[in-house]
Amino acid sequence: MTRDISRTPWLLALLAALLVMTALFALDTGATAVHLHDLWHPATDVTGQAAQLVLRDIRAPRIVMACLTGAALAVAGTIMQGLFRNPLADPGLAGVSSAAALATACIIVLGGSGSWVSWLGRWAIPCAGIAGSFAGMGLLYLFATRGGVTSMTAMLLAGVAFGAFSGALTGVLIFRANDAALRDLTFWTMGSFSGATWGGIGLLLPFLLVAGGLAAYLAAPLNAMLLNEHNAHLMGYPVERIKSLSMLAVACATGPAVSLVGAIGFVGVVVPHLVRLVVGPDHRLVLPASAMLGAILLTGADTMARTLASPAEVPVGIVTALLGTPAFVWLLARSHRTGIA
Amino acid sequence: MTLELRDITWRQGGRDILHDITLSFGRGNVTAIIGPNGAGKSSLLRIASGLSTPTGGRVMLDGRSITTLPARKLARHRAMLTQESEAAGQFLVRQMVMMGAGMAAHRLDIAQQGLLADALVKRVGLEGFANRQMMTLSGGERQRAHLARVLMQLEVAMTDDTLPGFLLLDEPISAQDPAHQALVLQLARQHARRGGGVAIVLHDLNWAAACADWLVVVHRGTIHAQGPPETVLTQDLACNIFGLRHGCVHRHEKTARPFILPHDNIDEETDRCTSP
Repeated sequence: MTRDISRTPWLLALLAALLVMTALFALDTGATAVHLHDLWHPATDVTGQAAQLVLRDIRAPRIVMACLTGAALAVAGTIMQGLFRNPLADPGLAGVSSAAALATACIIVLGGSGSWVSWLGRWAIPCAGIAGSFAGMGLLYLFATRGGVTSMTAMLLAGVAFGAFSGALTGVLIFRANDAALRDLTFWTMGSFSGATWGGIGLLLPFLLVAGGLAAYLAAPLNAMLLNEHNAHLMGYPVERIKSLSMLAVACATGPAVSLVGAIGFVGVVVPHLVRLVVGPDHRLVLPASAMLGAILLTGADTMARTLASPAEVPVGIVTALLGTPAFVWLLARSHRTGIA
Repeated sequence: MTLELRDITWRQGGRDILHDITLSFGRGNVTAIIGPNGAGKSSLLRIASGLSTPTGGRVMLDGRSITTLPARKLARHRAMLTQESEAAGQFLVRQMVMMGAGMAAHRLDIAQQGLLADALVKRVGLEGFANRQMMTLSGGERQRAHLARVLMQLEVAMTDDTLPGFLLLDEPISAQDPAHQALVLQLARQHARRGGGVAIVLHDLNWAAACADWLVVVHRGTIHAQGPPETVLTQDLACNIFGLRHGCVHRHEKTARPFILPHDNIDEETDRCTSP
């Protein structure tokens, strides 16, 4: 089986074009009958103002948020799979999502009256989520590191245990929650872009810039890590630094995104696989292509989420899970046949 | 210009794996490390490469302790073929070989790296395999593809006026047929003739005696003997260290190097006793 490498730049260009088209389509589609052309040819002044309001303050931030989140989750998934050399690894395994969920649940259920919570206002929940996700990742990293060497196996197993434990703690909080808090929590665990604002994007962006910079640095080293840690070391890569920077990149890409829009599954696992099927295993291509495909898929899924049952909204996490599960099972069956997993 | 191990000890799990190892690999010759299973040969090579840190003693590369060298710099002066190289399934052979150029600073652009990779793929006998996925290769072919990657690492460093580096090979012929065993060891000798240093862990005493300039015998974690094959691979060594029978070591007519015939070690007495 051979693969034509020369077509990969075209593929990246194609994905970029597809991303722009998806975003424009999403901008043009929605529960209210406002379309892009209303900006230039409004029927009345009122429709012109309404178009500006709907497009600029409601749909645009939502689409940008979906693009950024999709790209971030897909990049984090790619890094995790490369680092753990496990095709099923996803950011959830690194304790980031579960820690963010726990911290968020703490604020929703317990934190209503705390003074710093009211000071942070509507940013209290995302800020707690971000703090929680970094704390969770840091805890796992410290646990798995002995004498300057991080054991990825220990990290993976501890991540599973940590996920189960924080899931149980979140369960206790749910048990204690009142009806309003319960509703907020349920909505958060399914994920939604309905609360997306330019402010939220401003909070997310610095983290994603760090994650993006790290991903660019990590692309070539992650290729070497696929040959196992020893070979990467022998080839001159600083293995321990690569591991810690990868973890930092995953935390930066996942924690803030998950804290702002809630838990959105499957993008992190499925997207890197789909990309590898086409461009091969080279992270210098897989990372940018995954970022774009993740953005496309999540923007598409969110457009479906807000139009399928309009004017009501389906949480986007449900859409990605409904579409992602069959895709995931197909991938599992496929990798089982080809002997990868 | 050497890779030196000074007073190396290595303990693991409360056991001495290696002790009192002082050894020097010179540039320009091939050293074969031989010894029975579990003697510590691979551990010795891993310590020489910097992959494992010894419990005591130091590893010096051209007079500098390798622990003071950053991984990147060390990679310019030594490369190692390990026993447990991952399949790296979906990489093409050419991609994987080019990865060897990774961190070693060099003056080659991508096109030149590609040409060098193609030349190395050919040299390890994988001509026509450059665009095959690693997972479609046989075990032996895969082992040679990794050898090409390891050679690539030293070759790109040499384009930058660096002396030929040290090539460390851990059982490089374990998956090879006889013709490719000869090819792999010939490549190792070529590297030495160009001024590089070569250390190979080998199980096959005949190949060790035939291709190496220097033999190091490791037994129970320490160096039992070292020297040219003619003086080291003696009848006593074959009997006492490797448990072979008396009279099994012969001399090659042309090279005068020692060799061992398996026929001399088949025990027909035992065969008769165990059969009904």
